[in-house]
Amino acid sequence: MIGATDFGMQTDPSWEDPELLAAVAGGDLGAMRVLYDRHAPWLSARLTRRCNSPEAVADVLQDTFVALWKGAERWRGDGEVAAWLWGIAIRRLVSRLRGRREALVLPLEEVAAARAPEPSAEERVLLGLEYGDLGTALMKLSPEMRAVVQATVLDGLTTREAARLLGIPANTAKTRLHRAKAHLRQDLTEGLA
Amino acid sequence: MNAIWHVDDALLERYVRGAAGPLDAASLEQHLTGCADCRARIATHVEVAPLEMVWSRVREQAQAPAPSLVERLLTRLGVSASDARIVAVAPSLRTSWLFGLAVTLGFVGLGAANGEARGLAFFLLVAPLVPVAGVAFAYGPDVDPSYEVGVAVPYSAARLLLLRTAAVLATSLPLVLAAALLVPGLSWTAVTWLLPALAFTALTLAASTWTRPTFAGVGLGIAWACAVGAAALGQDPYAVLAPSLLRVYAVVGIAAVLVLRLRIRRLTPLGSLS
Repeated sequence: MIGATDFGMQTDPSWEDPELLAAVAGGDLGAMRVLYDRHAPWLSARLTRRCNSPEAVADVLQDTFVALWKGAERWRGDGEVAAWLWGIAIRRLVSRLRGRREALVLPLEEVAAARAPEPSAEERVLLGLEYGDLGTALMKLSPEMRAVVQATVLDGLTTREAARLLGIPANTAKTRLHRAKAHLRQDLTEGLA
Repeated sequence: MNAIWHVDDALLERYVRGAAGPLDAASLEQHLTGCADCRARIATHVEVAPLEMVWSRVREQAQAPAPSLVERLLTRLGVSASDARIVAVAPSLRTSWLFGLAVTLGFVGLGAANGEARGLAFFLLVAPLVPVAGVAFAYGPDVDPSYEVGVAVPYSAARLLLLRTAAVLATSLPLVLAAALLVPGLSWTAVTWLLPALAFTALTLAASTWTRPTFAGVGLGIAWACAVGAAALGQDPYAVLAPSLLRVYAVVGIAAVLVLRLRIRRLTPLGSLS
């Protein structure tokens, strides 16, 4: 936490994200700190799920907020600020990992399998509310295919960016996504029948 | 089915630990994007110290002055950001310095265009000293606002001086060469002034292992001015570039480089002179 003296202008911590962004665009570091407190924790956790190097995650987090500081006015004002920030962060991660293999990206399963107690049935049901049959269908995909689906559909990357993130050729990513979609379609329509 | 659900703390904790299954994690991530409450709650599971470290770096970068044109150009060319900063803070690379240099050379060129012998002498006086002045003002307690930082951080003084020397040569020599085009009485053989220029630069560097680079630069400047002045009085400014003298410059330059190689480690305690 920083002292009140660090707040150049009067920033109200109860402000909504868009108001804070506008203040950041006007050069208010205090507003930036409030945004950082709100978004850095989950961003860092989510990045850590995609890259096992704490240094790389720290660099990407830094880049993301420096980009926010310099380009707050680029937010178009639609949708969630959180989604916009994630878009910046995941692309920074892709370019951070380009050409460097020191930071290995783990498929989510490996991280999970290493030390996961199974979630309770109750949680599964709760989470099912979000995904329903799609969730079960996703789980049936091979880990490789699921990683591509995750990067493109859930993280919003292009297939080329996803390929870079996963360290596979762009064509492979495209094929895997194509196959995954076919599997999902088949699975979901069968479920309806 | 419309009930608003939130991620429970146990799952948040597992997720941050990397122990949530792929489906749980994906659901949670989608939910977080739209739910400020859960985003706030996940913060209690994330370690604070690394985040504070990143924040201090972010704040530093946000408050740092925007990188200068030189700095951005250097990083474009593949020089690392810290090297670019350390090169760019040298006063001799400041825009004002380059501007002053260009104006001086312009006047030299004009003077040379008007009066043959005197203008030539003037050009020969200034041209080899331009890189020397650049190097003399590139490093040291007299001139460097980043000097304190320079000796405090583990950044080799030798590396700093050599980097800046390279930068000074790369910026000033093309300017002087361009100015030489303005001097009509100058034949192409006169590019041999480059030899004393390089020799004097090496000599300044070697001398700065004993004394401040500014002292070395000023001393050399006075000596060179006397030589050119004497040659001009003898009605032949070119005499300072006579073949026999060129050989001397070459020997002096090589000797200076050798001395510099031997003594380059002595650069480090330079701060004790201030």
